Amino acid sequence: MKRAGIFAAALVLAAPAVALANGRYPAGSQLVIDPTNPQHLAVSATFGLLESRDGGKTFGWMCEAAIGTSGQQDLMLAIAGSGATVVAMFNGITTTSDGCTYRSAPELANKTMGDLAWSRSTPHQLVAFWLEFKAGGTFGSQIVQSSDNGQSWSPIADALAPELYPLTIDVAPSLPSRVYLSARGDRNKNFGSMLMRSDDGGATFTSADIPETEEHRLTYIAAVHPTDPDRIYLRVFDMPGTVIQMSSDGGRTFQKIFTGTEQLLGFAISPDGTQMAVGGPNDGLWVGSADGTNLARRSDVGATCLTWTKDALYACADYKTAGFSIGRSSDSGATFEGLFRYDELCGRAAACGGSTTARCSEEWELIAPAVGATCADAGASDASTDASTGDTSRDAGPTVEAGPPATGGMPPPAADDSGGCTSARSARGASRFGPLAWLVAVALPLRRLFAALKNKQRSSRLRASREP
Amino acid sequence: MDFSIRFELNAVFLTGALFLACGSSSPDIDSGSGGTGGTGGSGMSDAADETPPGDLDATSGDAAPDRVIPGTRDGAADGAGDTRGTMDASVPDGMTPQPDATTPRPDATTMPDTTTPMPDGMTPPQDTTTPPPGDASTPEDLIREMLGRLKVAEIEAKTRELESKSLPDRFTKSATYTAATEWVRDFMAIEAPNATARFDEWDGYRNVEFTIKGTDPTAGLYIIGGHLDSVKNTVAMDDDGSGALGVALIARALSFYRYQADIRCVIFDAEEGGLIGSAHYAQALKASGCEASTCLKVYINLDEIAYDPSNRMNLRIWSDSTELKNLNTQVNLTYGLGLTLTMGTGSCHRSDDCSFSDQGYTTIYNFQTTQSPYYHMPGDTSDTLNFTYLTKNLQITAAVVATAAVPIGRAP
Repeated sequence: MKRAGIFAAALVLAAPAVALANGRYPAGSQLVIDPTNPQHLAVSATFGLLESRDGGKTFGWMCEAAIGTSGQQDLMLAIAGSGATVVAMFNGITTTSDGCTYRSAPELANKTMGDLAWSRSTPHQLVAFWLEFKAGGTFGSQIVQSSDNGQSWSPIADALAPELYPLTIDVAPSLPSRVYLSARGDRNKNFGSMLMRSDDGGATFTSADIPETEEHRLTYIAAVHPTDPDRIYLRVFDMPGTVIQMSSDGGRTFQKIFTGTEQLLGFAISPDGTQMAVGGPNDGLWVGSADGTNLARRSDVGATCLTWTKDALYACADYKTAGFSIGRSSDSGATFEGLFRYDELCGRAAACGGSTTARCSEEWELIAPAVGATCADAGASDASTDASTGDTSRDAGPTVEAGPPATGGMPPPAADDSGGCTSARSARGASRFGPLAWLVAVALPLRRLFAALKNKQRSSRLRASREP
Repeated sequence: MDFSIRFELNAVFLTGALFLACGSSSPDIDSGSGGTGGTGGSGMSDAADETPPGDLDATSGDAAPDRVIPGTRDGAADGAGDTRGTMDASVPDGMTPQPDATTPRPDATTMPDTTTPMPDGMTPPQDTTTPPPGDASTPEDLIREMLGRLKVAEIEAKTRELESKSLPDRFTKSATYTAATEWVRDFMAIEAPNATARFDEWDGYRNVEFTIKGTDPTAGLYIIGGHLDSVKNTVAMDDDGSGALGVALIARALSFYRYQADIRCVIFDAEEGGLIGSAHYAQALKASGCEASTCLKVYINLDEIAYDPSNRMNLRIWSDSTELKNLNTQVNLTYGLGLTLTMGTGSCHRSDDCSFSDQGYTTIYNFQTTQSPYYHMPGDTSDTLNFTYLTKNLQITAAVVATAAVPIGRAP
């Protein structure tokens, strides 16, 4: 089904299971900040990719068609040391350096990527894994790495054991050779989760069962402590609410440190490693010591993502309740300054030009009313008129680049071109909206259009919301 | 609304049934103890499946001796030479619903014996507790018997069989999707010969429709639907293998009986692509003259109805119809299904229910209350499903439709 739609009904129902989709649409699920340029932020939203190059004052929207995503999951993001935004999807990994031109890694074409991570200390090196379902309830999966800011990828080792269903991967910020992988076991493990630890960059692992995760209580890595590679935080998908577990000995033993009333989608550790923040749409924001003690509800902001830098604690939230979509706190979550609201977006800006502007225009027709955007067509071109290129096609074929980045005909945006209502950076992209275009063409009712718009991957959202 | 009539009409029998369920020694429906994981059953129904089970043990195909009812038939034998289970090649345009079922029906509010004004224009109920001549079974008996055909082990086996045919996914227009539709059609032709199958095809898309023709042209139409297509790279056994296969299995169970109203069980294509299959179907239905007031009484959507790792047995029911929600509640009690029902409102929840509500039809959407973390992921496999929960959800749906359509006997 279309998860997006559950949102509205869930709000009406206000029943325990509303966490199913609370904030599902529109919402942000991951916020990452450039390790070398704090002015560069990227947000994985349920309706595409948002990027800011002015510290969050303004954001530009990139539609999913232009990115080249299959559109059935939330994007998993990283900003590499080069400043390139790396996007993992269900059909591979793509990167962009200018926000307009996306280059997909051909060696991962059509691979279902499960997760993506990198280390603060070596941000040009990234790890990820792909997975696929095999007959008999087994899985094919493999960890891959990139040493060139996500441009090219190669396997670290052989495929993972077929009984493993990998869920999340992370690298210790203070020790790049320490890689953690969470995975679900098979029937022999009663479908419980395990934490696997590698001290050789993901080549070999030791594993330990995570207690109280049997029967599909999937476990996602929430964060690895910034200074202590042996301390790792996990989020266990449990009913009725997420359980936060912590290991202080590299995954040998675990302890519960917090239980939400519903899903906890945001988690972050302060850069100095002294504080932790955890929250969710129905639990507000809790802050305490990084060892899991002294947790106290600090605010009512229902975070759907959290990221903590030396400057501030950032949160994604539903602006209808929190007043902002992206906010920033300078007092450890007690108060938030709203940076941006999704209804401030102007998606049809023609910053990148080309036929993909038309593609994004199609999506914008659906997204604008959903996010409440009312701005005028800030520089956007209709599909029929792209003044810069003369491109009149809505139907240009897939044009996401595989291989060297394309440069011709795509004027890169200025470094700070995302100001105001201006910055839908369109790139050439393959559209998954063939049927959607048809729907638009025949002008079906709006709710039908919404239904057609979003097939979002929920669990990637759970995975993605983590400390970068 | 005409459905109100149907509901009121059945409320009487349900009220009586409630007494029976509470005060008699009639065994409750037992969905078994399947739970998640495990294997069991075969991919095909055995001989016991063809004999209406006399007891209510959904795990057993054995008919209790004291419940064997005259009129029991061997469906397999009768169906051996019956072509109704095969695709209807005579339909010239597979894109449109069958004409006989789409013809607007007379307004059923002109039922006889209307002597007392009813709220909201409803007509007084008919006495449906009296079985038709030649059949000593009450509607409750028939429904209880019908529910016994939905067995945990068999549903699990069928689900796993579908999964084995779904690699790497059932993306719309893919070979696996096409093969899955043919597999469903083929096993239904053998196991549900009284359900008429039809492919609804256009532009490379394909819905699969199973029709159980009613006996009363004025009694309306009831549709149950789910989508068989998936997103890419997942076998999608919860979203929506559970609903799509469930629709077929409900059709199979229902097909052993006769009803006043028409019943259709439809497997939709391309829900993930934008509700394309259901939109096509609902639009064609409406264009054919099937009106909400006189023809399609309700569309019941099944999408993601099998994930319940904690055995909460809680089913969410979205509908704007209080009568329909009440009917679910009463059926759940009457047949001892043991579900906890969480009621909600709305007629469009970004699934195929929207396609029908867009056309003005009344809808119900049954949906699991535990979110699957495997949603749209490769891990959405049979191993994650709770087959007892799935079975109960199919049973309540089948019971609601059967009650509303009014069973009048076993199929000949």
